[in-house]
Amino acid sequence: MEQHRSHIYGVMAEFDTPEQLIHAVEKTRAAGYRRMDAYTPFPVEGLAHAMGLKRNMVPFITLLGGLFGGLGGFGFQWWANVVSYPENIGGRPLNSWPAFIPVTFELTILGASLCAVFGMLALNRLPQPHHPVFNLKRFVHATSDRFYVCIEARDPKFHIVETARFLQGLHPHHVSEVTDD
Amino acid sequence: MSASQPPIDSPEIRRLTPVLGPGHTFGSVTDKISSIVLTRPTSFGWYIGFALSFGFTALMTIAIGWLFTKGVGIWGINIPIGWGFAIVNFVWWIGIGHAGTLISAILFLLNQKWRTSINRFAEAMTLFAVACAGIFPLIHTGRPWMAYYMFPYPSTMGLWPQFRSPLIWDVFAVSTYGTVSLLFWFVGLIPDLATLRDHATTKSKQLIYGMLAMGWRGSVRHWHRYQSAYLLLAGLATPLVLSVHSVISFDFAVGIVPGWHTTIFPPYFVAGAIYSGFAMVLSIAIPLRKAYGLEDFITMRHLDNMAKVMLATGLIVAYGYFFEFFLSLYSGNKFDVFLVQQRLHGPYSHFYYALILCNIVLPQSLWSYRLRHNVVFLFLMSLVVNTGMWLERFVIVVISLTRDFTPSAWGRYQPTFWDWATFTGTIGFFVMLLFLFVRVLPAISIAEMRELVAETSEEEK
Amino acid sequence: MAVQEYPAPESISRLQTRAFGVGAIALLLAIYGAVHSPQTFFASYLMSFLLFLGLALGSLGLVMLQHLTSGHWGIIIRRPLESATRTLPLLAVAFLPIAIFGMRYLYAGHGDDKGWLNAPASGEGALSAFQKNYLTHNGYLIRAVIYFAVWLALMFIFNVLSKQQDINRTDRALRQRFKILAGPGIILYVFAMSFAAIDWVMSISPHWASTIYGFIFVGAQLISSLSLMIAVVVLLARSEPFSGILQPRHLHDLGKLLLAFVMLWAYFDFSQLLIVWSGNQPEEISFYRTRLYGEWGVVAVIVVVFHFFVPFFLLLSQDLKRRAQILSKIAVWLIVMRLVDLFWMTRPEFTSSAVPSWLDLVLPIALGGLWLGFFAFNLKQCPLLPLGDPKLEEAIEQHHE
Repeated sequence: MEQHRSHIYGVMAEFDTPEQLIHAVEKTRAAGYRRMDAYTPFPVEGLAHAMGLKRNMVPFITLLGGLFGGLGGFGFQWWANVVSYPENIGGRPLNSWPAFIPVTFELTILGASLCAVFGMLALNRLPQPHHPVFNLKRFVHATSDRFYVCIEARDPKFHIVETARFLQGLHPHHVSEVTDD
Repeated sequence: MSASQPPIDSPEIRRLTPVLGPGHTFGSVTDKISSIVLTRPTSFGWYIGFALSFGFTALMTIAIGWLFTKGVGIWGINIPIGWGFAIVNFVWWIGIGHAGTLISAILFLLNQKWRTSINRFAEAMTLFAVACAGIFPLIHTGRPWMAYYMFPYPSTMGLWPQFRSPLIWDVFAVSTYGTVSLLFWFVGLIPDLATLRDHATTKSKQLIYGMLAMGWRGSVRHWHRYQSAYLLLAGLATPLVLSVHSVISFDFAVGIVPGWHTTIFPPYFVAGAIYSGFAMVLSIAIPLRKAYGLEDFITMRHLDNMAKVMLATGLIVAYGYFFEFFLSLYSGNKFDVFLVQQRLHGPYSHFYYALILCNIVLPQSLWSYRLRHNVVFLFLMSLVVNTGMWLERFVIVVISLTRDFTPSAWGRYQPTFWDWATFTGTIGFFVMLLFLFVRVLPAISIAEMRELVAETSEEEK
Repeated sequence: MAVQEYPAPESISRLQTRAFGVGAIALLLAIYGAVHSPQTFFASYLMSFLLFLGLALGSLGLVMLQHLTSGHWGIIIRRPLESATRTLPLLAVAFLPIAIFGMRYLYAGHGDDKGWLNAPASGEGALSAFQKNYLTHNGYLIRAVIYFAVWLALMFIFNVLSKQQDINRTDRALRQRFKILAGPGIILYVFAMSFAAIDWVMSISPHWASTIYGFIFVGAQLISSLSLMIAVVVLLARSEPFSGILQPRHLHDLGKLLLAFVMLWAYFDFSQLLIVWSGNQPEEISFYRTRLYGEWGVVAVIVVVFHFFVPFFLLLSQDLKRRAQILSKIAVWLIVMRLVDLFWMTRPEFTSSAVPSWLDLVLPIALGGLWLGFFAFNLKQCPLLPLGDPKLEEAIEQHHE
């Protein structure tokens, strides 16, 4: 049994419309499956909710990046002009705080944006050139006009025949096995 | 005007001017947009256009090469007009970029569906405009190979950049702007790159698009974080775009030169930037939709909305002109009053009148529904506004610098051949990048068009 | 016309009675103050007047913005906005004390600094050639009449059309007329307000001028009126019929807009500071010399922290924006801070002491009570939702979230 599972990644069902997919995902979760994923060509409203996804960490990481950029930016300018290289320029105070605001602002935005994008990629484990779902020939439609749900083999309830039959019962376009390599 | 015009929210107007033509499915938008890149043969017109813009790009490289050999003396700049074309063009290009960010970020936050089909190429336009803009201050430094002096790095002399100077703010603002625009554009592209990977007809295309797509597979968990990140980027890019042109206005306004030192400058520069930026989006969108048959995606509704944004921002610019003028007289500061006189009657007054004509007078025609719906007229008007906004920067830079506080420091400014060569060269460079862009990347966001299909099909039910 | 749908709840009538009562008592006290120390009275009166003018005019601006963009946020608050604009006649009356008695206390300078009413004809402190013809007693009055005429006309147009829409609910041409009028309307409002800000406030010290001044006022007015609207819809949502209508998504939208306005206002104010501070020109920097140091410096810090940073960080949070109780508290807080900001903008022209007088408490209550009572009265006159708005159904549709 263990031997058999090692090269099955999961069972994938293909649907024509986002509504069918949401319905299928709800049914799948109701049947007790948890290790699963859905694949869509665009973000489908309500799908994340159906999958039971809660908040993600991206906003928090972004906030940290913004705080780091802003405080670091102001702190650095203050340090450079007041501590490291104090110089009287045009009679302005060493701590010319109004003049430090623009750079502080820019660095806040820069820090937050970099953290938003790279935080998102890191949490998504991207770049990831290979993934078992790509083994499925039909999966090219996942970036065009088809909607997929995949129940993964590591789900405790997974059984290759039962799960496939269960998915068949949701009236998909197609059900296929996804192999690991 | 109301008799000829059907009510704005009526169903028939919605049908006449939708944000997406009828009858499209997830598959059809995918095929239509990706085929421009993947399968459609490169047209003869594309080669002609590319060759022409490449020629101007070559002119730009020659002009810059000659500049590096001879120095900034080949330009028309002198004492007292140290800024000249380089700064005029820099401000003009950066301003053009702003509409791209505005369309992608602010309209996204405002949930405006009509942005979907224009945001991708508007963002590309932003990047290319920032690239063109960045060239000018760099080559204007005289010793561009020392440009790294402007960044805070631990030098052996223990120096730091002069953070009280707006020119350093500029470095941070423009580089942040370039970076964030690139991130925003790239994040938006990831799902489409995956589409291109999966539809690619040749091995090499599959490999290149595949690498760029980073293994995107459309997982719902990925989309979940992706949407958060995209929304946050939009939220960050919105104040950023305001700050960038404000910082550029500070280049002028924190100094005490008459005509530059006035507090309305930041919002009025931002409005002017959006004004010229939308004009440039129109100048590109109108030929693009014609050439690639994208009338279903870039509909009259888009053009109409963009014209309205132009009208609104143009009025803010007019507000700026007016209060600058009015409060100069009000305060009675003799240098400010003198500058107003110089704008009206001085040696460069014809530029000033041309600018009023192009930026204020002619665009008022956009109040008319019928003219907004005349594509040729809109195209011409977008060129007029671009010219007007270029003239505005010329007037600001040149009139103020040629008429300083003491008559002994007055001067004249005459751009040389090399000034014009660099300027037209960057226009060529910009157009060339756009030509390359439409051939290698989807000019319209496919993933977002699918979302639009989903939404419109829901509405029809 | 008797439209019985969505009537204002009982609580609005109670608000009206109480507000009128408190306002009337405070007004009596204030009149005593006016006789006793007219100089302090008018400085305080100007500040309070500007706050409530801002509530009405900001609402006028938001009504027109709403018609241009037709966002759901605006449909929910359109009737409260219109009610706030209909207080403009009261404000026109409230301007009379300034026009009749107050000018010589406000525009005649204090101590050695002469105002424009008594500026010397030549020499130091003389007005510019333009100001000599512009800042005159009669010019001031005539222009004030024009500003109020413009605002009242706009108020009249948008309210009358709105009433018509309640009757002819299917008349789509009305929707279009709103849209056509809103564009020029906003231009008129912003221009008139910019000139009014110059006349009424900036000219107190006639040698100081700033081109962004009008924008600062408009931005601030938008903050205060949107804050009021948030407080009002939360209050209305405590009872029928609004309780079933207001949803977290509406508050979220209004909260986002409030955040945007707070940022916009801060941006205008900071731009002025940075440009004037960097230029450091003697005739300009005087504005900040008096306002950033000493006692006024403390007020400046209070404004920066409590008018910008605290609301800014609170409004960044998505959760807080969706919670009615918290969002409405931030909103009321911002209206209070508007008063502090106006205090900081206007008062240093009259006195170097940043300690408020008792009139600074009594006058805002007096004008505020009367204003709020009138506003509550207006709110009862129409259905609480614009029943003829083609997007109304969409706007109040229940979303399950």
